[in-house]
Amino acid sequence: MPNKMPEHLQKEFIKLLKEGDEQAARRFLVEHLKEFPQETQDAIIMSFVEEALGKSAEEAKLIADFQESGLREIDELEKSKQQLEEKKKMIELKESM
Amino acid sequence: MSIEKYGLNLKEQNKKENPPEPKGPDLQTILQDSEQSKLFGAHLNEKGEHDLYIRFTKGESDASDVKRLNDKVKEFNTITRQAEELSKTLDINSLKQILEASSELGNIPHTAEGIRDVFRLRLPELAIRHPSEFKKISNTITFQADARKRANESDEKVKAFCDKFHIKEDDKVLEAIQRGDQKALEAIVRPALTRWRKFFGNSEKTRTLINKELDALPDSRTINGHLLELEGARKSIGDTLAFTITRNDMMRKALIADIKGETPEQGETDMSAMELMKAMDEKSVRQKYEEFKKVKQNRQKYGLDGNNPQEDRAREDFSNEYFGKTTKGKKGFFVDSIFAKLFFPDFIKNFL
Repeated sequence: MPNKMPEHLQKEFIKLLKEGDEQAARRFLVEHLKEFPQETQDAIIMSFVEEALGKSAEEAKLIADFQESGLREIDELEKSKQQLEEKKKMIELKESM
Repeated sequence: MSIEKYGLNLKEQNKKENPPEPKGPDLQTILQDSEQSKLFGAHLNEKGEHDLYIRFTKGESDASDVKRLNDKVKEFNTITRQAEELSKTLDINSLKQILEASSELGNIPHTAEGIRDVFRLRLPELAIRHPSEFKKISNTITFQADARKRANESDEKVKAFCDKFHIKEDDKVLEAIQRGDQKALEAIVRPALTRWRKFFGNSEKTRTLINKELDALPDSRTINGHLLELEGARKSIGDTLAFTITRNDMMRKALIADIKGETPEQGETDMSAMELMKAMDEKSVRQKYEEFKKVKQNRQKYGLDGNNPQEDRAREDFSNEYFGKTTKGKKGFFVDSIFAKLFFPDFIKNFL
């Protein structure tokens, strides 16, 4: 990983960290991206993308779990419906006799 | 067909099915490229072959060293090839979606293709110099690719279900999307999901009750009542499922916000780098760093016994170990990892 950080950027970033303002620290990285050495720029971009990929995967998984639970329940409902319809046919047949 | 010919055919077939892995550059080729050469040196160092590395750079390698070096070249090629393959699995559409959805990444002057190029360029270096970091990124990329595949399959099943029962997207949903009205969308999604949860809470009970009644020979009126009940439940589930195939970022946000509301956040126990920064002083960091360097293995790895000391690398590893452990599992502290990776090694350089 890169190791040559412009001093003023380093100081400013650490100041934001000490203040505990994560959002400001994130904004700082994006706004000053071009001022960092190329390797650092790439590392920052990769970290943002890695985080976003992880988030997008979690969300995709959440939606897929939700869909699958719904589809499983629909299957169960269909089975119950089928049983009811068979029973209904039997009763109707019995009644017609 | 003769056995020989059959054997040849099998060989041909094997070649087609399992093509031999590309060999990659040999030692000479690596040495001719200054970047590759440096990276190979880093690989030797990472693998604890510091002495071999020193003899190699001084031109003092003997025959057994050359054999070991060639083995290390194979290992090096395998790792860099894996890293290159990994960058190819990054899906351009997913990267585009991420760029569109993230205000931060949206401000970064890169296209999806540009981002993939950054990964293609940097992953081999990361795999060699920072294997644990590489493993983490590799896991995320693989996890995302698997999740995407599963989401696509699941979407297809829901679409097929909606087609079968002629379930269409709600007009109110489409209108809200058209107006860009996130609040209106959430106002439609929230009650639907509340009904969904309520239904799931009662669903098993309802089915058990129906099964019991089936055993007790019900009349057709009771059965018709249950059929209506089941039909209503299917419609309710189906309508809500139809939300999930609306390919729209606003809808996705509304759904995720509501579904996530049920899932508790985890891993909120460790101290963050920011808190650590507040708590620590130069003396304690210097002390910790000296302890880190004292370990015999560390001294050998970074050449701290005298030969070409790699203090920069030692500081990076110290930083990763120090912050990697304290912030592990903590959510919402993304800048901590940036800090540990990029800033801390330089920061401590000022006073170590």
